[in-house]
Amino acid sequence: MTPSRLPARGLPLCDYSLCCALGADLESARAQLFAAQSGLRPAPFELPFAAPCGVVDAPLPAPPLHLQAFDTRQARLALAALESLRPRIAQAVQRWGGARVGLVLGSSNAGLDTTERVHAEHLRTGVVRDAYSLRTQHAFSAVLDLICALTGIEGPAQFLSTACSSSGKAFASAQRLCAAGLVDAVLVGGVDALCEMTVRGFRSLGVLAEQPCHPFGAGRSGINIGEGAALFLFERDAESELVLLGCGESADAHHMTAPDPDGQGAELAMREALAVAGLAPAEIDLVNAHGTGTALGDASEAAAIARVFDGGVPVVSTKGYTGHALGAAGALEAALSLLTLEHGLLPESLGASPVDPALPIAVVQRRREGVFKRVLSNSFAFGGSNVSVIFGRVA
Amino acid sequence: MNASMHVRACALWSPEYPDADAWLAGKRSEPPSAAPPAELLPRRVRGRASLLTCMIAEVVARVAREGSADLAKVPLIVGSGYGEMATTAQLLAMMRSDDGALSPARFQASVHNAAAGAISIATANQGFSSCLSAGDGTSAAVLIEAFAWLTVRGGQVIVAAADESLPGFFAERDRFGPLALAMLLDVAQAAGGMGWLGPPVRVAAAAQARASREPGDEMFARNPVAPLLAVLRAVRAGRNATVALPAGSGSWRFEFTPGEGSP
Repeated sequence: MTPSRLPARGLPLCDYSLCCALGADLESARAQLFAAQSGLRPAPFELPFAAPCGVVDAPLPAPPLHLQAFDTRQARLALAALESLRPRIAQAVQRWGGARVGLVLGSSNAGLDTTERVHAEHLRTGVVRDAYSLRTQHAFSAVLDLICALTGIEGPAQFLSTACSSSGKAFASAQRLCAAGLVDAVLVGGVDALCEMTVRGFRSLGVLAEQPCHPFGAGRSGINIGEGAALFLFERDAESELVLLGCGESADAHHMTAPDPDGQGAELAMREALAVAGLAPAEIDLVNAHGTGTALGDASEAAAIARVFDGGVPVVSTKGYTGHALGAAGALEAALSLLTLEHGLLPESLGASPVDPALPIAVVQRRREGVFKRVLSNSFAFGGSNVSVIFGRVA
Repeated sequence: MNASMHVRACALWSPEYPDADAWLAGKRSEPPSAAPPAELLPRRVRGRASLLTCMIAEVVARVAREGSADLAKVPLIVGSGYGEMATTAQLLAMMRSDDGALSPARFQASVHNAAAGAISIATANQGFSSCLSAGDGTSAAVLIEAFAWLTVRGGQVIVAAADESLPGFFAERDRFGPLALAMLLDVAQAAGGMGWLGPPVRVAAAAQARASREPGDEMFARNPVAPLLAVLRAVRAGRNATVALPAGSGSWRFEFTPGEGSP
């Protein structure tokens, strides 16, 4: 494939925000991240096994009264991330017109947490509560409709849902919408609320850790599930130091849940992102790894990173802070990576020490200061879906 | 920017209509089919796959065959309003039974990209695929995503859109029949093919109806991907047409121009 017609200097990022286990806003999360404080806590629902989770424990905003039908935890997480961006989104809508502003989000679970509760009630009572609506409380489109109603966005609006690569792929989709001339500004991101089904599901696959995870660690035993939301407003001609440089997407074509042991699909995604961005591997200062803490996944990704970058680039996993936020992970970790670019601080990979000596990569084990201009962030998923996203600081 | 997307092939499957010809002629299968052949998937995978995954595999294979696309290389965009709801309902039931343990096979098949993953594995395709959802706007969204892909990357792309009936307690509020559609699109300007779909144009007014109101389409009326039937009908009619697909408070308009290979 020939990358073409993408903005040469990258797609300017006007503003971004997040809400996750590290904090309900960017500043809180930044403080916790660089202080190496984990946001993992006991699961907020009853389980017959231990399962630390990346839970957001801050109060979350509810939709306004006239949009109450959309009130779910997923919606509240999205609203928490949306709040600080609303003035800037309003400017974009006013400048370009709502139809020229797009909305591309990623999620794996949609409103499943609400549906779990309604289903349990239905089993007990035989009745589906009146207030429950599949369209406004379960479907992916619910959060699209809510955000469009609140912001005046009327351009292309869609959720990407490719499990854990969902919001990473949202950046790729948004970049194409801009390059194709379909939008002038686009709100991108990801949101997933913690669900009992996903925790039990990963347990059924034998990859759920009963302790805080150890990404790339010698004693790694699996993942912790998390939740959160992160949003990013891009505008075609905005003045910004931060830019989206390129994305690469691929498939393992190997197995529904197990990664290709050689990491060929991951390598394809990273190389394509570099090609789209017009960068050599040596121009990447940091790799934010998918790095969930599973034995196979981390080994596969490490092998791929080592082949692309010759093993020298610093590699960070932030799953030890936030847990694995599934469909929101790509967006959440993009936000954490941008904090590194902006503040010149590389967080330690919490839980990684001691690093597995068999892995041929340089995992960051202590916070480090420096000048970091470009970061490549990986997200990999069920179905062998892979995405790599590159952000840069152009100043 | 490309002026349009070239329609190379299109396909439809539902339990009542085995293909687009039967649908256009109003010839229903009696009794309705339980599932499509889905021979693209290995027998072992097919046996465990949901109806949704089998429907998507079926229409994707058909347009690839009809348009001579290489399934090991062609990009794939899948849209579904609700995704793997039957599998989700099974998992919800497991969660509340006995020890609450889930089937790992069911869990991995519950993700929105289960069909795309199964197809990429079956065809050894390591290239691009994506899965999206936009409620009633899913039909417009897959065409917009395809238009952006073809404009930026060129080549060809398969778009598929499908939703299965809602299972269990989900069906208490919303009922519709299963439906899957697919199109093979490219940017080639060569003669042949079925015609061209112009670029998406946003229209403030809502589309007239969520689904086609043609006779025979009633069973799909509330299926999120039913609006795509109007595109298929225009393509197969081989006449100039304007199709409005709903999305949010407005709609997206696509102009269809028939090609030399139009029926």
